[in-house]
Amino acid sequence: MAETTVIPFGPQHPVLPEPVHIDLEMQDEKVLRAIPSIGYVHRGLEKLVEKRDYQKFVYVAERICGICSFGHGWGYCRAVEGAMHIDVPPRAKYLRTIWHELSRIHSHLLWLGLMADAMGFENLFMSSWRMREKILDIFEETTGGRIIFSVCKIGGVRRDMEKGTLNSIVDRLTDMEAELRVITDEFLKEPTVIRRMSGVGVLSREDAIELCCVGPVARASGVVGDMRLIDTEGAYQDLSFEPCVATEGDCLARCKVRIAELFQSIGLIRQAVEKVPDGEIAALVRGNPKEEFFTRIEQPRGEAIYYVKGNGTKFLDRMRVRTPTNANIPALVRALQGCDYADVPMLVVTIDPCISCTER
Amino acid sequence: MKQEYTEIESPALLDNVKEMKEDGYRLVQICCTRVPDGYELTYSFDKEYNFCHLRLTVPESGWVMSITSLYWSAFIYENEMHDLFGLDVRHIANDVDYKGTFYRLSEKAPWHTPPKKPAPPVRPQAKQPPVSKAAPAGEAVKTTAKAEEGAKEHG
Amino acid sequence: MKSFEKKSPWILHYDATSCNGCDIEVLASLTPRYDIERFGMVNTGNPKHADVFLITGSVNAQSLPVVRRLYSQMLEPKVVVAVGICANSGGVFRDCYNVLGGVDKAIPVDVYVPGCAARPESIIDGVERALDILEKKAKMLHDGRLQELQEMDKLPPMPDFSAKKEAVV
Repeated sequence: MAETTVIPFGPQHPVLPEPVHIDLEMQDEKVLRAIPSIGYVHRGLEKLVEKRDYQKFVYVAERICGICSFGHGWGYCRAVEGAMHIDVPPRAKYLRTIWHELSRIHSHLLWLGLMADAMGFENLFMSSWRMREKILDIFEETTGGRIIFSVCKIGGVRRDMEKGTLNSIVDRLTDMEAELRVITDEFLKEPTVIRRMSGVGVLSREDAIELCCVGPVARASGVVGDMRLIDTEGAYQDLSFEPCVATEGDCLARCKVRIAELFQSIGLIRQAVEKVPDGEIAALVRGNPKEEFFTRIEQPRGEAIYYVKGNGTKFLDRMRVRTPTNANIPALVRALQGCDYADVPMLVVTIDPCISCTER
Repeated sequence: MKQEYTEIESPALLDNVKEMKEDGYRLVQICCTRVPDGYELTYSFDKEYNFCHLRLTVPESGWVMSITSLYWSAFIYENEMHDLFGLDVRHIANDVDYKGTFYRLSEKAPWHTPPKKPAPPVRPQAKQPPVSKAAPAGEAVKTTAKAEEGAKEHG
Repeated sequence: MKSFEKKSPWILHYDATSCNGCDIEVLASLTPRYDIERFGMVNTGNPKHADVFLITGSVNAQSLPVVRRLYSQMLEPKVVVAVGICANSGGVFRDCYNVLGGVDKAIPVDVYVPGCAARPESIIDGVERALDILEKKAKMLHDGRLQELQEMDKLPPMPDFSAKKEAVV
């Protein structure tokens, strides 16, 4: 019987944008066990609440991760607004939803490019990132920043988007949609892609429930769970949509779910722009948080939890973020068992890990 | 929206979590907060969007039982609590017990010390008006002469 | 050979405790809109092949030895570009307990590119300036001044996080 070898994967690897170390226990070319080692991006920023007052901490919360930046800013603001019983004006809720869905499109296009790069499909990497630049242009026009916008604040948003701007966003997304369909159809119908991803890294429905997965990873295994369906702090209650679900649980199913969510987000933005009400964009904030509050949002990678605990001063007692990748690491460990060594980078990217979110 | 936290005692943790698992709840997260006399742990669960929490307070020298025997994915949160807070979490499943190496930090358990309360703001004291005392005549003349000189210089 | 080093520098990119903002802008520089490949730059994963070390992120205790190891594996002439305010000085995280604050405490840095996240235009500008420095270092190498070059590029002493602990309240 062949002996087992342990091969380190990461932290520096061409296909990984972020440092994560996985020890792969191999027998010949098959992975028997995967032991993740994280901690390369741990900054300990949750402890900064002791030094930055709760209003300024939004800037730190946004920088937990550059890809999910708006989601983190929004989640933190929601948690503090819940603890202080602040009512955010409806227009601000709609604007936040529009920016968040744009953020979801940008994140999924980024993921699609990295996925293609991990598979060796360089053309698709360049095409999807070129399309992504159009979303970043929208961010820059409306907020001033490409990646980190600092547009969310406690009580609402800092900047408004006029009717003309909103309509031009919808027009640009409509133009992009046609081109995106061509690109994603090519990707999903390509025989090499199907042969490489079908049946690889299967996570069954029972495994997904037992491992408490969230987001597209869980939805691709048939577990329907989308926090937007119960979200009362955004505009989602007024918008109609169904969660994108698949049942096979393999790499191809995860890709299909994310690509379907891309088009779903364009539809949601269209609906939100039609229904956005007029009014104030921020509520007045007085005093300091005294209570604790948990809030949940559906980030591009899944359900994220934000918890704040106030003590009456301007410095919070505790701020905790539980990001979706934190919940999906056990799924990564399970999915890697039994796969080929050459499939490891592709599998890691289908889980779409965001290590800087996990480690904070 | 009022959020409910069910207070439980440490010995009853596993029984309560087992009930949650049998009812079909998903473990969402475990949060540890440093409080002056120990640690406050919040275990959050979800079933069909129903979000509920179990709350447990552990004294500083106390320990808590791992729930990896029921929810294997809890190892992420339990290893983190041990490394960042120095909390003694016992009986984590063998294949996922990192024994303090989950986060390799420059100092051990940086959250172990409770946060310092910020000092209350100090109001600057109002300036007292200068106490006037009768100055000798000679000095007053000198002062006046100097002022005159200064006035001449500046012209 | 002399012209190839400036005309086709290979880049090694490492994320040392970054939030990913600057990393995705570095990757965006490779994409068709900004396209640094027209300058002959190629992103490589092998430190022995690389001339330019693009480093993002404030360095933490765990990534510190990795950064120093990657730097020492690169061969002369080499330049280091610290991308983003976190790599320059620690950024918003400079008061965190696990953050060194500034890559220049770990390895010698030649060019600092500010921004949070640094824009692709700034990154390309930073790399262009680094190439001028690379050309001077390459000239030193060809003039037989390898030891002087190695002295210039040698690693600073291993930084100590305990000094950080006293400063952080």
